[in-house]
Amino acid sequence: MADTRVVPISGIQYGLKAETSFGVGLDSSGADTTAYLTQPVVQAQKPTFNILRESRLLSGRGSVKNAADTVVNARGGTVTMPFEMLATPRTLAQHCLLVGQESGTSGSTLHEMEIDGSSNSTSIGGTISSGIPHSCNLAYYPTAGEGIKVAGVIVSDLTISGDVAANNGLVSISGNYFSGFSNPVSTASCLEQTFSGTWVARESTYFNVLDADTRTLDIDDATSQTFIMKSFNFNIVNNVNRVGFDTNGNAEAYVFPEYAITGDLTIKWDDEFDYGAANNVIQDFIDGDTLSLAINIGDGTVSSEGECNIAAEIQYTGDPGQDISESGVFHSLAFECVQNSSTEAFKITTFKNEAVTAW
Amino acid sequence: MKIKGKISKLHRVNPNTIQCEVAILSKLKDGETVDIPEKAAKELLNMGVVEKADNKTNNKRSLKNG
Repeated sequence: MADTRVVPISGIQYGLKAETSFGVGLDSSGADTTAYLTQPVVQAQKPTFNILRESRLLSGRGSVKNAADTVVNARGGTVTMPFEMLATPRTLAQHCLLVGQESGTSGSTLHEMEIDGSSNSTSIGGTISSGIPHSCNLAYYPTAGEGIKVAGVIVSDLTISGDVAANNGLVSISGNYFSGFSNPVSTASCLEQTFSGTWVARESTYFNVLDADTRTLDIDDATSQTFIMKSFNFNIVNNVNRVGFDTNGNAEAYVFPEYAITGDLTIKWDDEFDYGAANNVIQDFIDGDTLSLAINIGDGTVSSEGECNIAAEIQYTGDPGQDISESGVFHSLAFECVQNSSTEAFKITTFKNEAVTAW
Repeated sequence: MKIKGKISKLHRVNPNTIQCEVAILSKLKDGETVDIPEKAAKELLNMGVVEKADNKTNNKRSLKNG
């Protein structure tokens, strides 16, 4: 008789926990008792093992492939997994660190990640000190004995989005996890794992774009003009590649050859952002101007959960488009972030009263 | 522990997930000072939505005749 078990998608969860040694399982002694940080996703996607499979029709085999002529190689591959969730104080700060590989902390506790062309790691794989550089064990857990542990997990690309008309204005993050530990072994990535630890609960504080007290952008002949915002997106890509291989064929290191940040901003056409003299958004594109953008969710002090400051130096990548709606015409501004003298291409500051080592 | 609410911060707190009662949360949202168990107070302090209230006591003694 067929089995009647059903696995609802909501019955699957996944968690992250920072590694103390690159690509090494935190608890490889049978059931994993690590206290993973539960991630607040609606649907946990399965990790995908991107490994090599050769399938050849060899000479003399006739007109169909032979079972003996295929090769599967788990060494040298990658593991990827998409994610999408509402941003919470810890998840936003940790995912920014996982993609940017840069961290500055102060007080109790500001987490700052900036991309400036010099302070972001160009490779990881050596010693980890106080959670930096930052890689994680990822636990994908449907049920006992069926879990998947992925070691050496970082984020290859991260999108931070806010839209007054989506998710009740709550900021979301999405992207992909990346690992170069594709060969399952007991001490790193592994299958058929039981996770028996007490996982850390999800947070319940979010970031609301309708809470953004500061929204300013340079324009043409004026600086720091306040705009009325419809939406924003920042997409951060670190172009990670795995390099080398250990005795199991897993990665020796990851390299980050280029950090690229692109995005778009949709703001209202009004007297501060128009096609006229001094406030001309088209002129900024034609002149190739570099513009300072600031979006501060909260009062700008970043002193409580749910507050963050985003600062970026942007250049428009195309002629400003139009977003036409019943609320009037909005400018649709596609941009990329660039290092502007000593000002970071992109910087995000969040509040979470936890040290990176707690992640 | 005595804590005082930060008016401009407390609207982000989900009342269903914290350890202090809704009535207390309402007082904090009004910027009032409340005295609640230390565990619940520390949770809110960690979130940055309240601050420790001044616990200074008045040590002045009134002079009595004689």
